[in-house]
Order: sequence, then C-alpha cells, then structure tokens
Amino acid sequence: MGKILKLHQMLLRKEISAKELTESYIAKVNNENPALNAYVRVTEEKALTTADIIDRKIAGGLTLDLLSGIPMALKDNISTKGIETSCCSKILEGYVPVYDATTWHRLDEKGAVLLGKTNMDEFAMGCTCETSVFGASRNPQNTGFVAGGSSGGSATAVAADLALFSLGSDTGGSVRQPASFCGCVGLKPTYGAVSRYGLIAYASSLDTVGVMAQNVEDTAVVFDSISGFDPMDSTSQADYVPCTVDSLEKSIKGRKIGVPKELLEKADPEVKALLLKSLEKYENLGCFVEFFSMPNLITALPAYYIIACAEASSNLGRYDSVRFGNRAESFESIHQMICKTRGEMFGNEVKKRIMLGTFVLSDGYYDKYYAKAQRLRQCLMAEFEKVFAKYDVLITPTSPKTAFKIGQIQNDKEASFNADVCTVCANLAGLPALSLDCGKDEKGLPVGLQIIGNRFRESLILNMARQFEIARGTESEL
Amino acid sequence: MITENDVKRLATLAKLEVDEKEMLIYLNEMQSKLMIDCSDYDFADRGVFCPLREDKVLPSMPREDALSNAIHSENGFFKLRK
Repeated sequence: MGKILKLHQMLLRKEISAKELTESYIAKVNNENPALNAYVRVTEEKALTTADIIDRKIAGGLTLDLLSGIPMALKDNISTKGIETSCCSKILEGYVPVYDATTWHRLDEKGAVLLGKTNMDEFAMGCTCETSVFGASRNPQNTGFVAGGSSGGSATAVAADLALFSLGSDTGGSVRQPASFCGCVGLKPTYGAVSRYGLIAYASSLDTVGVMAQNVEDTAVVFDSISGFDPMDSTSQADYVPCTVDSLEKSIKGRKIGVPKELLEKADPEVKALLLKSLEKYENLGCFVEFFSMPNLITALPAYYIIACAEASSNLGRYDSVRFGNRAESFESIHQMICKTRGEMFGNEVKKRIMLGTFVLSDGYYDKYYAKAQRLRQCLMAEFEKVFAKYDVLITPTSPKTAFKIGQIQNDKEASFNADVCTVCANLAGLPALSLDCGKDEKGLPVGLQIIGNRFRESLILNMARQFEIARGTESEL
Repeated sequence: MITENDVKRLATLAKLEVDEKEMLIYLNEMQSKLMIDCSDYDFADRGVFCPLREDKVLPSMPREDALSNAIHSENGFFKLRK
C-alpha cells in the first residue's frame, strides 16, 4: 500500500488530524531545510489553513479525496495564485501570479496541502540545481553531492520526506534525473497528458509537468489526479482519460522489454551493472528482454539542445521588465533598459542558452541547425513507432552517472553536455518515461532505471515499475 | 567559425547584455557539438501535423490583475519613461 493511501485511511479513522500531519511536516522542513535547501519558500499559513478545512470536512463526515490533507510541494516554475513564483531567477524575484497552474488548481481543489515552492535551476536550465539564484539543493543521501536538476528541490523534498509528493517539470530529463540522483520515483508524462497551463515556459514543445513521489503507487495516485484534458492548454489531448492506479498490480508476465545498446554503453560501469541486474529481475518476472540498436538516440542530444534553446530564446523574450519582473536601476533608452535588465538579472546559463537559441534561429544558420534538428525529431518519432510495435517498453539507465559532487560539473563540460543523453529522447518524441531506484553505487548514491513507454501508456510503465518495486524489495534490501 | 561581430549581432537580436569574450568561446564550442550529420537519414515528408486546437474568444484577465506585477502603471496602462 502506498503512503498516501495509508495516511488517507488514518485521517478517515481520525488516528491523526490533517493539522497534526501538516505541523509535523512543517517542523521537519524548518529543521532540515537549512541543510538541504529543498524549499525556497515555505507556505506555512496556506498549509495550515488547508489542513483546518480538511479537518472540518472529516469532522462533518464529508467525502474526502485521496489527496486531501496530504502535504506536498511544487517546483518554483508552477504558477500559484497569490504566492511568489520566481523560477529561482533574479528577474522574477517578487513576481506573484494572478492565476493558478491547472495542475496546482486540481490538487488545491482536492485539498492537497501545499508546504511550499521548491528549488530549481534558474528557468529549469541545468542538471544540478546549481544555477538557482538560491544556491543548489543538496542530495539527501549525501549533502556533498547535488540533487540533480532542474527539479532538484522537488526531488530532495520527496527523498528526504519533507513532502509526500511534489510536482516538477521535465523538458529534457528534469524530473527523472533528480529522481534518479536522490532515489525517488519520477514520472514524465506523455506530452499532452498533463496540462502545461501555468507552467512558466522553457521549451514549449518539450515541457511537461511531472510527478515525484516516494513510491510507485503514490506516483500513480498523483498522476491520475492532475492529468486529463484542459481547455486552457492548446496542446492538451481531449480523448485521454487516465486511470493508472487500477493497473499497478497486474502481472507483467510475457511483456517484451527492449534495451537500446547505445544508451547502455553510455553508462558508467556501476550503473550498467545495476541495470543488467535489474533486467534479470524482469526476466524472473516472466518478461522477455532483448537488446537492440537505435543510433538516433545519441543524435537526439544535439537535436534536443538546438530545439530547447531555440524555443527558450523565444519564450524568454517576454522578460522585458515592463509587465512583470525586475528592472535594471539605470538606463538611457527603452532598448537599453531591456538589454541591461536581462543582462543583469539572468544568470550565466540562461544567457548562454538564449544566445545559442538565437544563433540556431538566425539568418544563415537556421537550415544548418534548427531545420535539421526538427527533421531529425520527426525521424526519431517514426523510429519509436516501429520500436513500440515490437516492444511493450524500453528500459535504459536514467542517467549515465550517479550524482555529481557539488561544483564538479562546472569544470566538466563533457559530463554537463551528456548528462541528459538517456532522457531527452522521451521529450523529443513526447513519450512517457519513469525513473525508479534500482540500487546504489559504491559511494552509496542511488542509481535510476528508466522505463519508457509508447504515447499515453502511463498505465503500463507504472505497472512495470510497481512490479519491479515489489521484486526489488524495500530500500534496506537494495 | 563564429566571430566577435556575430556575437554582437546575436546579443542585439536577443536584447541581452553579455560577456562577449566568454560567449564567443561558448558558441564556438557548441557550434561543433551541435553539428548533425544527416547523410544517412530518410527525410521524406512525414506529414507534419499541428496539434493546436482552434482559437476561441473568451473573457480576458481583469485589467487590474494584468497590471498587478508591473513596476509602473497609470490609468490602466503600463507606464514607461520616454
């Protein structure tokens, strides 16, 4: 049984009140957050108000949603009406949205208790959470290591039990990689399955809102609660009715697993060894495992950088300090005001990606870079169609490496460039993918296993993950 | 090879003040990393589709909400220095 269901039953039986549960989490956050830096803003008042409403509902015998009274967290790029949402950037310091993101709106309506907004790489650009204006989140397994990124704070909060679940965003691996680094579950849904309305945009054709939780069942419960059609998101899929929880306990005997050799070979030996061991577990569960080759998975990485940066250069054009955001103090013209504001308020990584995006879209380079990347993306999608005619799911490492030391990646450009090599293909093709803890390396850092499914097959990848979770056993047995 | 002039032109296009020397090194590094060799790929038209739905006119955000995060506003408008 998942933790959310257990707590739900305890709330119903009045073994614990929503207020007691919320207060215990707030105390934990206040105690542990200074060392972990998972939260950049704690919303204590809002949390206690919600908890109070839930307790009155319980006392009145009213129907309670599974998520009512459950303490959770949101990445700082998910809009929350009346609560500052800064994308961990100086340029949006003090920005207070006037509307809720659909994902948060759906959770709020169910009575989920928002503990606060979590740390992230500035505008979700990074893989270690170190580009945050608030400094990096720390890995709860070892605070000398990064939590991963960009949803580092969301992963730290969940893995350290400073929240039962959190939402993050995944543009190239930003939910799955930090989940892998911190040892929790991270689900990136199919593009169009979960509304992007109110998610502050990085690269709109790749962005998804994802779920992080302490186990697979909780992940499924949250995914079912936030997914489904939203008229406010023009790319939301109208005909998708999610219900993944009911499929979790199904047998996976006879399922066909494809393992792309190219991504396995990218992994460090320890990561590779644990992945192969995990595949044996799947074979013991009655699955068929086959290794196959798909060279385009490696070419996906430059295509991802080109498309993500091109879209970012366009999306971040809105930060001109006129309608929202901070402004430079001195300037002599409107043009200078905009250039100076953006120069002073954006961090280095954001500036690099805007410049790279402007470059690949500029006259003389568009066909050489952007057009090629888009066509390659189409090829990749067509290849995945063929692959999923043969296999039910694909399994790869989530990240080729385990968590980096704090500060390490700044001096290792290759590791930085390749950090997302296993995850970007799911974003480019719009596929659902999940990361699940499959063991620890010699340093005691978690290793993540990635399950990729065909479009809208969240039920299947969560089922595959749940059955692995049972076979894997509890954390102490890892 | 990206030149200093290219960097200046890109910074103007992006409306961004940057460290031009640092950006020159970065863009030249990335330029080679992002080269995609397409010679082996079949780029036949795969029938691009647009996932966007048709636009519908709906009520807008209240004006005071739209202005609430602006540094300066006056008479219902965003205000900027001349």
